[in-house]
Amino acid sequence: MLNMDTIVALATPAGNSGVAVIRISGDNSKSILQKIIHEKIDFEPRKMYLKKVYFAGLEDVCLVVFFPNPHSYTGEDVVEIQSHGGYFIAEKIIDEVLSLGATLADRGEFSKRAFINGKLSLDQAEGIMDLINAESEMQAKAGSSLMQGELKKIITNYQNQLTEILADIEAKLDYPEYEYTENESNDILKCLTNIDKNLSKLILESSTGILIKNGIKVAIVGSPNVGKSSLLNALTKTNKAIVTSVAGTTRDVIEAEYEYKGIIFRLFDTAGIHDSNDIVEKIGIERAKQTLNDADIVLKISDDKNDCNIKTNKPSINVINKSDIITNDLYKNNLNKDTIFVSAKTGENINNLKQLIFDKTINHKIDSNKLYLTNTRHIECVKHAKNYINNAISKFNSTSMDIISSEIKSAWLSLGEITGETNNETIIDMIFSKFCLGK
Amino acid sequence: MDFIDNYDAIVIGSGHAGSEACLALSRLNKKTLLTTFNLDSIAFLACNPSIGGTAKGQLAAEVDALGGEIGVNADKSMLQLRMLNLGKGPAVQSLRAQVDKVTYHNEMKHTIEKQKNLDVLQCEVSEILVENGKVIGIKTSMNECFSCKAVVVCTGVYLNSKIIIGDFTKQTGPNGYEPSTMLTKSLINLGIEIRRFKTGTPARVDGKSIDYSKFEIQPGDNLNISFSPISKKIKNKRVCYLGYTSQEMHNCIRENISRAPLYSGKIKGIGPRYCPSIEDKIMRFSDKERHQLFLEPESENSDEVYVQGISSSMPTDVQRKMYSLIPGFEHVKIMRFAYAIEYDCINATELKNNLESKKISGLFFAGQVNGTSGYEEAAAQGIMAGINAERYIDNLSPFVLARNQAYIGVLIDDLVTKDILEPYRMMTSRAEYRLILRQDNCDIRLTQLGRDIGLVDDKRYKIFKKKLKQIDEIKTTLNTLCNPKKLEKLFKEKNESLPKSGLTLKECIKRNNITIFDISEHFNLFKNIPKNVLDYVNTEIKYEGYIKKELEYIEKNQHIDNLPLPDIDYNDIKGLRIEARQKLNKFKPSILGQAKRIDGVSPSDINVLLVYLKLKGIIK
Repeated sequence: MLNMDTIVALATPAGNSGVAVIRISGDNSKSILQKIIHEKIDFEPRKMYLKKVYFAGLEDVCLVVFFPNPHSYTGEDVVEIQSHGGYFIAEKIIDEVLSLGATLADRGEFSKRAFINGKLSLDQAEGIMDLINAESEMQAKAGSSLMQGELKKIITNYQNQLTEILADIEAKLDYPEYEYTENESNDILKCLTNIDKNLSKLILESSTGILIKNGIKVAIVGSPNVGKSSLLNALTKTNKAIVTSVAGTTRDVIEAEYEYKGIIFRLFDTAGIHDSNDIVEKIGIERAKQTLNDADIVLKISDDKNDCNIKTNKPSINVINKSDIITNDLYKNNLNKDTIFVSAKTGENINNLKQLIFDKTINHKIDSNKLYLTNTRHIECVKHAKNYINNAISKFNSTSMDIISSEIKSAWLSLGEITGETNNETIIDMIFSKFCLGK
Repeated sequence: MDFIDNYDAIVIGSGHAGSEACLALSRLNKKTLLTTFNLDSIAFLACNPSIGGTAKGQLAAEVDALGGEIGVNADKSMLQLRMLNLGKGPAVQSLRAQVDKVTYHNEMKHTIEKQKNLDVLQCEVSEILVENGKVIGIKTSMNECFSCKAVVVCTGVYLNSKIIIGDFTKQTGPNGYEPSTMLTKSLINLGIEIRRFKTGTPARVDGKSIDYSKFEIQPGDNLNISFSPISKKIKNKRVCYLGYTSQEMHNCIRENISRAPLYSGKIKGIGPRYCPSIEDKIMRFSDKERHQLFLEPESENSDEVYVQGISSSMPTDVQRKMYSLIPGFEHVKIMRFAYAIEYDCINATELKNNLESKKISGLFFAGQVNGTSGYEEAAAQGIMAGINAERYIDNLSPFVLARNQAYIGVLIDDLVTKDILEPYRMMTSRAEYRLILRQDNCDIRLTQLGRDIGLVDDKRYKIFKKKLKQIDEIKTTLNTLCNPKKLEKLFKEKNESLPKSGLTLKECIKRNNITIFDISEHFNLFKNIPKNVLDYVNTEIKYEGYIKKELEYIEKNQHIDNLPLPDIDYNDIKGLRIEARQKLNKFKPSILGQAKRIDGVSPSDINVLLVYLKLKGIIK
């Protein structure tokens, strides 16, 4: 066996709760359990025992359970201790387990071991990693559907369709007495076209997935001193950006983020763009322009004194700040759907601004019941598969079947790379179950 | 022990594996003895009178390219030659020859008789003599002993064979030849695992009782080539016929299905899915209205006809009735009944990839005894076992072909890594590098290797070298740049858009509608080059992109596939599923690629193994 430590960690969220679950995984987990309950029993697998657990001169009545390998979450020997809630007890029990030779688990280490031990497929493990690292609700959701094998289900479905087509083609290649009828060819072509359409959709929607995973980049631009930094602070409810009445206070790009309706929005507050001789400010202005290029959406800030003339081809919102001091009705009457009147100072309309940003970037794309590809590796694999299928379709009537079969096989393999599974025998088995062949 | 004579190697069995094995050994200067039950059964074609077929054509040509005999022998007895799958692409095109089964046997027997270093003896081998885990000789049923350093077992379907026709069963080999009743026991005593397989063959009928007007003629193709490049071009001498079963025949089989040994439970051996009997076809695919059948001549000097597609083990009265219900067979006279045959074979996963037993040094197995079916599969193993027995005797490293080098490599790798649960037949879909393993490049892939080993004689090598030179010349010519004006007429004719700037002739051939033959005709080139050489170059050019992709894939995988696996107790790797641990401990694969292909080892098991090797510092 790999020389891996026995690890321990709190499996439930830290803080006050009714029950806390402490998980131990590794070769020594059983003996640690025996020591901590002062009893050398041979635990029946997966059976709950009510036992006194001794730690730091204290004791607590806990539920303990032993999962012998490989039938456990990590594939190793695993012990779970359910103690009474409250961080204090759990922490002390963990200390006791550590003193008995275990080490504290890293973030995600249980899942990593589950993958190493073949308990999770590649995409499931990736999903768990995404879940652990998730900062927003939608990120967590994407990660969790990966973990539960949602993607695998979809991919396996396309793979199965390709396997059927391949079995059909292969049978006719290995048994020359069978020729293609026009109907059969059309059916195959139809099926390929359908898969192509679905893969295209997956790829198209993956841009939404990437937005969910990486967050939406919002650039705040405008002339000096229109209140860009105040707006950043108002949106994130922090004091991250320094706000003064001096024009040109912000020199570097300041980043901050907020979550709105399960999505992470990353704000980039930039130096006011204008002609400046200050060398530091000049660099800041350059960076501001760069930020503008990387953004998913641009907030053009203006006030009653300064218009915002910055041009961009990105989606943008005209934000007129200082609604609290502007009395001129001209502004209030001139609103259109891309313009909003806010006050960073009083918070007026800040929530409406958040909704507007949300609407303009992601709202129309999101379907909370849908699976979005959020992993660039998965997206690449799907793109490859789509390419091969496109080749097969475009050559279908002009090229011989050995080549078409090779293209479809490549598509099948590319999809298999997502879940880490590829297997040639399935095609051969399919041939036999579907066709009557023989000498 | 008194030995009658001392040999380097002894080959048991003179079928298609045994013939290749004994010829390879003796041609590699090993003093060899071939034993057979019956000298009249050397290279006997017990089933179809044909050599080749999809993937099998490649196998036969690969054996030929290495310096084997099957291709040349097929040419000597050829009645008809066809290229299958002409419309489906070069990667799946295969040669198939109808041969005269009498001539085929006679020619092979004579070749063996003429061979230097090779003795032949009609006898029954009853025991393989082993000392300290090493082969030392054999003993016959008449208590004669012969010493040797290596034995190649090529017993085909003859180990404890039993034929079954309805209720009638008999301990016999095909065609009334004797079965081998003692050798299985000797193998079991040596610790070899025995299993039981089954196969079958159709009836042979009297040609003059057939109404050929109800069949479609299947003539040979005018290919102007032969199976082996060293043979003279052959001529088609006979035709075959295509016909169909009828609903009446299907009904007859359904009514009598309870009398079919396969369904009554009389047959216990495992039969091949790809070679089902007619009763199996009709029961399993009941919605199919009719099944194809082919009539093949057994010999030029005989009216016996082989009815391909209608193998059966029905009782004789049902056979008489059902065959007569085939359109054109109304008055048919059966000359030999169809039968099923059960036989002992070994579990080939007990062999190393040089076809030598893992338990006993110097004990090699080849052919149907390893669980395969088909003459070509047998011949392929025969030549490899022969070569490797020689290398064992001479203390040389094993000769193993990779899956990307030859169908032979695919075949043997499958046999020694997969639990074969039915007789194994080669198919093009078993080869993942099919675009590279073509009928048209068998010699390019293997003849140099055969030369290095010592099996390719001067005559074959000279022909091979000439072909290489021709290919070189063609390629040079095709690289010349051509003025678009000179191409105008051809491109217009072929419906291709004419490029503005000049392009090479090779680039022209890459166009969909233009072949090397169009170019050679248009420019009056390559007049003295044989068609098959041009075919080869044409394919290489047209498939260049795909071949490159396959080669890249091979390279990408080679690194990981060739990772050597140390001798590990897989029970120590707890992440592996129990089944995977057991299988890996049983097979003890030498490289990761082999581990990957073992049934019951899943991709996630391979991940676990990879991580283990990485953590252990075995791979970086």
